[in-house]
Amino acid sequence: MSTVLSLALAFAQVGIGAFGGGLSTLPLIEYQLVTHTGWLTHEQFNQVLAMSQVTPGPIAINAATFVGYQQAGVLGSFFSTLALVAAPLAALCIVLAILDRAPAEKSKKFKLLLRPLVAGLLTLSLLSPLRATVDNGIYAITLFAVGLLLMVKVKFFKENPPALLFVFGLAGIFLLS
Amino acid sequence: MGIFEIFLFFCRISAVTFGGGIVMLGMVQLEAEKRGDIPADELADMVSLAASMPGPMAVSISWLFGRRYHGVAGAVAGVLGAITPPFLTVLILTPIILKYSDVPQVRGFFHGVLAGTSAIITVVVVKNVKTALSAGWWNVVPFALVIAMIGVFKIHPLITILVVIALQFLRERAVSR
Repeated sequence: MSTVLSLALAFAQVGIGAFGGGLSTLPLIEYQLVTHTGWLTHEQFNQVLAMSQVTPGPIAINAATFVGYQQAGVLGSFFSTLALVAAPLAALCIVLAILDRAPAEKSKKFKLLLRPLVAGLLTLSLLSPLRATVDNGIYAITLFAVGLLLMVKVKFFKENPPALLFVFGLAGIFLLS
Repeated sequence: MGIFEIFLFFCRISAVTFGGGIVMLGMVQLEAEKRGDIPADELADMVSLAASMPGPMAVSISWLFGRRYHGVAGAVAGVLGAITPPFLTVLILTPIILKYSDVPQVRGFFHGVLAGTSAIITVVVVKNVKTALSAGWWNVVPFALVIAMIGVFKIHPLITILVVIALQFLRERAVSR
């Protein structure tokens, strides 16, 4: 029971601090799941990150479901995901109650204020997967470089990043196993 | 739109949206514009608010969207629709990943995906950092502060995020005076 509670608390914090969505949540997720609790090793964290990119849904939900299950089974999965979703929704309801008049203009201004913060978080989110890729050797580094090129030059991959990841996963089976 | 229809609407979008975040917002906006029963400017306001709130954007947009049609019941239906596909997918995959994570081919697959993820994040980082830093000299301060506090001084990311948001508000007030 106490495990489920600490899972819920950890993911409520992830939910509340998840500004900017998606990848900018990674530093907070990494802190909660790797540094602070030790629920995941760095290798596992990178696996969850990789998995979240080839499965539907935001990384925070994917991480909550994964770690919840790993720590406390289906019940852990359920309550981790619930806490992750409920905490920011409570914040949203408070904001809606206060800003019922003109939330649009205020939220636009707030989004501009968030921009440099999100840029900083995104930069930090690159550290873990990039470090792992460098550690994985010359083939992984080559894949990274090819990936950069494809993401910049090829319209199909630019518009469908998951397609790139599936191709790279298959390439990884042959080159990196 | 009926309550069950709201659930299905978000189920469908969420099931085919990988990575979550901004992509999900774009998909919802696109699909909703096709239906045409919410005015475009109201839709844009919902998207803007969802993007500036904490928590996965898929969750906040489905809450706002469902609420627009059917109050709290619609909001809950929207959120459930958005989280069911990722929740079930990862719930099924997690035991498999935990069991086979040491198989070389599985590791190879993840290392390949991770190399691709690093490339994608790099592209996202470059784009975001450029936009954020070109919007004014001050933006360098929160940007650098986030990286220093989390990356160098290992301060809790949630505390860092709240401190930087507070700083941004103070600065905004000082400038507009």
